[in-house]
Amino acid sequence: MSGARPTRYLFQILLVLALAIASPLAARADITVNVNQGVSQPLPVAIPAFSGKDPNTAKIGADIMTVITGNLQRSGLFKPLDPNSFIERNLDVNVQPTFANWKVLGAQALVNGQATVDADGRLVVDFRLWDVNTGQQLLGEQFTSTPDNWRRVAHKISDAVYTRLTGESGYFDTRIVFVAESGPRTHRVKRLAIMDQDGANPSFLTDGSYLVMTPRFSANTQEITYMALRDTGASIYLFNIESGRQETIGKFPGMVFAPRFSPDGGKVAFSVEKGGNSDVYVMDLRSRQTTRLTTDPAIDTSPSFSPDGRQLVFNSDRSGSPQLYIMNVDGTGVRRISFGEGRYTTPVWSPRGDFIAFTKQNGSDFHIGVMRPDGSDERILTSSYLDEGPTWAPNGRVLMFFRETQGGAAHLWTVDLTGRILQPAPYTGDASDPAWSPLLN
Amino acid sequence: MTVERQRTGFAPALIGALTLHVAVLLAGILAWPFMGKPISPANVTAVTIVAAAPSIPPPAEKAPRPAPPTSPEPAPTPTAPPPPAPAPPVPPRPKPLPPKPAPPQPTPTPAPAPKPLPPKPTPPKPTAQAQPAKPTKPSQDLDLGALSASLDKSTSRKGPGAKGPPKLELSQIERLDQGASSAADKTATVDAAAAVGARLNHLWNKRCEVEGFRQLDDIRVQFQLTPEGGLQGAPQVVSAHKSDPVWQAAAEAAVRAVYQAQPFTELPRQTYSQWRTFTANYQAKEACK
Repeated sequence: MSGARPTRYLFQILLVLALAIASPLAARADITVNVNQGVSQPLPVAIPAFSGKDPNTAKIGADIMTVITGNLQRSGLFKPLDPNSFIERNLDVNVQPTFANWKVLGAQALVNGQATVDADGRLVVDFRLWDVNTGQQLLGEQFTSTPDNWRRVAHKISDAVYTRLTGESGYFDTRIVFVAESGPRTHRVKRLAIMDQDGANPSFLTDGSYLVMTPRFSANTQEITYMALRDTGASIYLFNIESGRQETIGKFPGMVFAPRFSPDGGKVAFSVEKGGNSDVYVMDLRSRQTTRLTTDPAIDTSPSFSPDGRQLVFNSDRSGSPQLYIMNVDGTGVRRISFGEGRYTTPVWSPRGDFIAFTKQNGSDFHIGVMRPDGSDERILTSSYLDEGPTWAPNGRVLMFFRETQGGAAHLWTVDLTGRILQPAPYTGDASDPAWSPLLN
Repeated sequence: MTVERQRTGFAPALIGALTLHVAVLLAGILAWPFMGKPISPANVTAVTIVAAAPSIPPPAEKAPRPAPPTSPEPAPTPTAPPPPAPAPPVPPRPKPLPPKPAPPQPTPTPAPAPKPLPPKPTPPKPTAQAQPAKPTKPSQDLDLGALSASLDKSTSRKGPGAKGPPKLELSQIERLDQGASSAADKTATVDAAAAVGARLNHLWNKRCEVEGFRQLDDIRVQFQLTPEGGLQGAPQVVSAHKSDPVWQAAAEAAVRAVYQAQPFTELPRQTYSQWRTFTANYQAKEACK
C-alpha cells in the first residue's frame, strides 16, 4: 500500500504535466505573417549634444551634435528629433541611458557621446549608438584628433551611425570639388573650389584668372583633374590638393576636355576635339602614353569608367542625337544603351556599378536620371529649367548636380536614387560642375 | 526482511527522484514563455572608451576603434598660369520652364548646452518597457472574405504606402486551419494574422536602395503577445544570422517594427489562445519589386 500511493501520485502528476504541456502548445499555434510591403520612412533618432567637462569641450560636443544631425537629416533616411523635446539633455556616455525617456519621444535610436581634451591637448570623442527598443548598444567607438578637426570627427561618427543602421557605407566624410562662379554673366569668373560635403570649409584652389571646368576627383582623394581654358587654348590639369602642385597632361592638337580618372587613378580618359570631330582618348599617367578609343566621325565625349575599370560609358551623337554608349576599355565592343526620347549627356558610372547617371534633355526640360548599365530601368530623378552634371556620392545612393533657374545662377543640389530626397546642397554660393570625392582616409 | 527493508529504502528514493524530475519539468514549463527573452544589453564591458571613467559600470560595448586620421586642410593656394581665356565650351541652352519647387532644406537644430546632471551610479536599467509611440492603426475590416479575396490577388502588388490586409498564402491559411479547432477559432486566427500583418507592413522600414537589400532572403522574427496585445518577452530573429551588415540592419529594422507595432490592442482578448505566438516573415525581395 505504501508502494502504490507514490505510483498513483506519480501518474497524476505526469497527467497534469502532460495536460499543462499539451494545452498551451495546442493553443499557441505559431501564426506566420508575411510582411512584404513595408514603407520607406526616415528613422527617428535622438542626438543630444555630446557632453563636455568644460565650456570648451561642451561647445565642441554641441557642435559635433549639430554636424551629425545635419548629415543624418540630409540623407533623408533619418529624422533627428528636436533637442528641445529631450527629457534628458546631458547624458553621461559611461552610463546606460534611461531608454524610457527616449521611447516616449518616439526615438528608435539614440546617439550620445562625450568630448574631452586629454593631457596632450588631443580631442578625444567617445560615442555610443543605442537601439532604444532593445536597449542594445549598436556601436561604441572613440575618435582622437586635434581639437580644430572636430568636424571630421563628427563626419566620421555620422558615417559610423549611418553604416550601422542602414548596412551600407556612409558618405559624410567626403569633399566636393566644384566650380565657384561669380561676377556678371558677361565676365563670369569661374574658380576651382573645394568644400566638405556639408558645405563647410569652402576654399578656392585657383585664382579665377582663367576659366576652369569639369573638375574630377581621383580615387586617392588628394588629386583632381580639370579642364582649364585660357586664351592659349584648353588644357587638362592634374592638381594635387595637398601640395598645390599642378601639371598639364600634355599638349594635344585641338581642344581637350571632359577628363575623368580611372578607378585606380592610373589613367585619365578625356575627349579631344579636332575639326569638328571629338573622340575619346585614355592616357596612362605613368607612361604618359595616350590611346585613342573611338574613331567615329561623330562627337564622342564625356567618358566615365566602370568601377572595375574594364569599361567606359560615354555619349555620342553617332545615331543623330547624343545617346549613351558603353565600350571596353580598349575601345572594342561599343554598344548603345540609351534609347529613350531626348538627348543623353554627361554619363557617370556609379561607384557601386549598378547604375549610370546622366543628364537628359527632353523638350524644354532638363533632367538628372539613372539607368542600369544595360540601359534598363531608366529613372528620371529630377526635372527643371536646367539640371546638369551629376556626380555620385561614394556609396552610390546620392547624386549631386547643379541646377540653374531661368535668368538665375547655378547652385548645387542633391537627389537620392529614388528621386524623393531632392534638396539644395548646403552651399549657397553660385556653383556648378560638382565632383564628389571618395571617402577620405 | 532484508528485501522489505530494501523496498522501503527504494520507495523514498524513487519519490525523491521523481519529485526532483517533476520540479525540473515544472520549472521548465513555467520558464517556457520567457525562454525567448533576450539577455538584455549587458553584452560586454568597455575597454578603452571608458578608461577615463572606470568607476562607473559601463554598458555593453564593442572594442573601440582607433582615432580617425587628420588630414590637413588643402592649401587654397592658387596657381596662376596665364591670363583668362575666351569663350568656354558651352553648357546646353535650357528652355524656359518653371523650376521644380525644392523641398525645404533641412536645418539642424543645435542642442542646448548640456547642463551638469548628477551622475547616475545606479546600475543601468535594461529595456524598460515604456509606452512606445503608438502608430496609427490602419482602418480596415478584417473579415475572412476580404482576406481570401486578397489571396487571389497575391501576385498583384500594392504601393508601399498601400493599406490593407497582408498577403497570406494558401498554405499559410491551411496551416492556420489545422491549428484551429473550430470555425470561430479559424476566424480569430486569420483575423489576428491580418491585423498584425497590416500593422507590420506599415511600420517595417525597408531600404530598397541599399545595395544588397533587394537580394536578402526572408527574415523571420518570432514574438509572443500578452492577452492585452503587448509584447511578452523580446522578439527573436529566428532566421539564420548573417554577418552581412545589410542583413543585420534589415533584421534590426524588422524587430524594430514589432516594437513599434505593439500593443496590438485590436486583437480580441477572448480569443487569445488562438493568437499568442507570431512569426513575421519579412520579404525584402517581394517588398522591393
